[in-house]
Amino acid sequence: MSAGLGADERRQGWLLVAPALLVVAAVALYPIVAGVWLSLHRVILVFHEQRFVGLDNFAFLLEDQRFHGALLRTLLFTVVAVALELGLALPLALLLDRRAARGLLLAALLMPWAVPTAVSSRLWAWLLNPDHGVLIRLWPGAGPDLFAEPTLALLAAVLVDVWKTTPFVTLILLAGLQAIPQDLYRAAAVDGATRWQTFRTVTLPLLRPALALALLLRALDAFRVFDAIWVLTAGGPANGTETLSVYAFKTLMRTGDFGYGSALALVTFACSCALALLLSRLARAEAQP
Amino acid sequence: MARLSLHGLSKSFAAGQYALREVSLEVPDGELCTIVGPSGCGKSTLLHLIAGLESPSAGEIRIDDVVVNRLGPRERDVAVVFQSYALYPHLDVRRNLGFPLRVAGVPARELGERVEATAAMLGLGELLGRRPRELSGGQRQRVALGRALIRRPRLFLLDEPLSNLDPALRSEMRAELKQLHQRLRTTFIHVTHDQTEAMTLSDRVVVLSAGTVQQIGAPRAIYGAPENLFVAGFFGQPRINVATPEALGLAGPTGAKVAVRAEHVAAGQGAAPPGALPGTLRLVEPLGAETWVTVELAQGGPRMIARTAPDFAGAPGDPAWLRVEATRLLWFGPDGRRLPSPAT
Repeated sequence: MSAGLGADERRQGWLLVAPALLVVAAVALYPIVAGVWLSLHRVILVFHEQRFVGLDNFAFLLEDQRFHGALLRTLLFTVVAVALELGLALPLALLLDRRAARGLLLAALLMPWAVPTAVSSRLWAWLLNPDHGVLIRLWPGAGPDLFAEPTLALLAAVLVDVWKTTPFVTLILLAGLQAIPQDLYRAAAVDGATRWQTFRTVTLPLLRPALALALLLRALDAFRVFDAIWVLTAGGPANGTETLSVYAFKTLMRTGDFGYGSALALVTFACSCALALLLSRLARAEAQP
Repeated sequence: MARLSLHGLSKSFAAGQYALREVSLEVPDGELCTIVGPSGCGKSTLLHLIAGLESPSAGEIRIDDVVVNRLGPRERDVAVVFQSYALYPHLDVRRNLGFPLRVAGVPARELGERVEATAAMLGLGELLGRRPRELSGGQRQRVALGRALIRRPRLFLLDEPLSNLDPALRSEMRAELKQLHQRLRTTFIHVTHDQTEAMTLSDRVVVLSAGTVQQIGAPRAIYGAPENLFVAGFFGQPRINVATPEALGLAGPTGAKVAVRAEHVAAGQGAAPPGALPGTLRLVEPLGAETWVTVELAQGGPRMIARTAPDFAGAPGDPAWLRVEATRLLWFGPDGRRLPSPAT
């Protein structure tokens, strides 16, 4: 492409993209570089301390039990939430794909997605409140205090995430379903396939790209989960619902330990990148069996 | 092998709006019957009804004297070749061909043999490992045919099977389709908007317009003795000439129309000889084997087309004449229905 361009044209090309490059450098590249730089230092604001420590922060990370717990919890949250979301969204999308009143149903379904996470988390926090929560009151006898038990509290966060993002996944899958030509279903019906056979041999394989996309987007989002947990439990009890983002935020903003906080943020970033690469490779491998 | 009968078949999608109205048809075993009509005439709906992909609002569909209205496509044992071919894009040719057998639970060995045999018959042997997107239009068409054939269905339904092919390939596939039918001797129901396909392929033609049957008959009968003006105009290239009797110097009932095919009109240049109609040359279209000549009768009168010898020379604006074979005139009443020719 560029082989056919003269030196003048090439220079003009660079000039034209320069503003965009500058913006990208300012808003994306600079924070990353600054984060890397910070992670190599010991920076604690209250002590006015700032010195280069090399990879010490990362070395500490390997031994930090709290970090290990957060990483495990984040992975657990991601797997459970995304599995539930895909599992719920697929039947919903299949149902919507056949209905005439699709517009209205879709609008109703999308409501949770339109509510800001902080708001929906607060909503659920009240619904599940051990003393006054409507849902807890429905429990026979004394309702459980979900937020006192880390596992249950994490599940409550999963519930918030599932409630909010299942509509989004449904939307992606519905778009995927509608891209499948009706003639293929007719052909399958005439070829003698039952509904279940049609679903397994036609719908599901052709829905794979949409499934992979939903999986990728949702897994990355869930892995960086912050607001749902922050509003619901602030990482408690006893840091029992702390995910990577929550831990990094606390270290950075609460403790003011900028060096170690940046190291945590960087590792979270690296994990997300690895996850993205893994899932997109998986999706591509699935597309060409 | 099956006989198909339709009795008073109607389909309406909204109240009072009919896609099909009172269609009745008998297709004997082994016939190639073409349903032809302009787009939107209901022919694809009719095919979907026969296949069981949609259910009729009224009427009866019988295959071999068994009413199949309530049966799904699975139980009807019919095969459809779709206009879009509807090949499964994620499966290779082998799996596309084998799909109907696999869902029916045919054992792997028999399935393999039948796929090989079908592929060999259609010349697809080399392509078994390819995906549909790696095939040409003609190859996809063959795979779609093969997928229909492999089940040995009682009834073959073809929905505009040739319309997505380029013209050269289309006439080739048309001939192949005809040979295929002659070899299989299965009942074929073929839907098309192309009158040439309808004429060349079929044992019998059903002309459909606005959801109602206009005429059923052998291709020659449809062409030579159309029952109404729609059928007369739909078949034939160039289009049949239609004029008022007065324009041709004839007397007829009020509101009547006469029609005559271009091959029954002679044209010449210069002053009109006795018995010919004078006019002006408007268009000369050489087609190679013949030339179509359009002549305007009188000033602002009807234009008529004559098929003439390929060496017809002349320029638009030249004086010209036409002579119509009176015995070949078709008469139509004000409602468009065919009238008996007045004794002349």
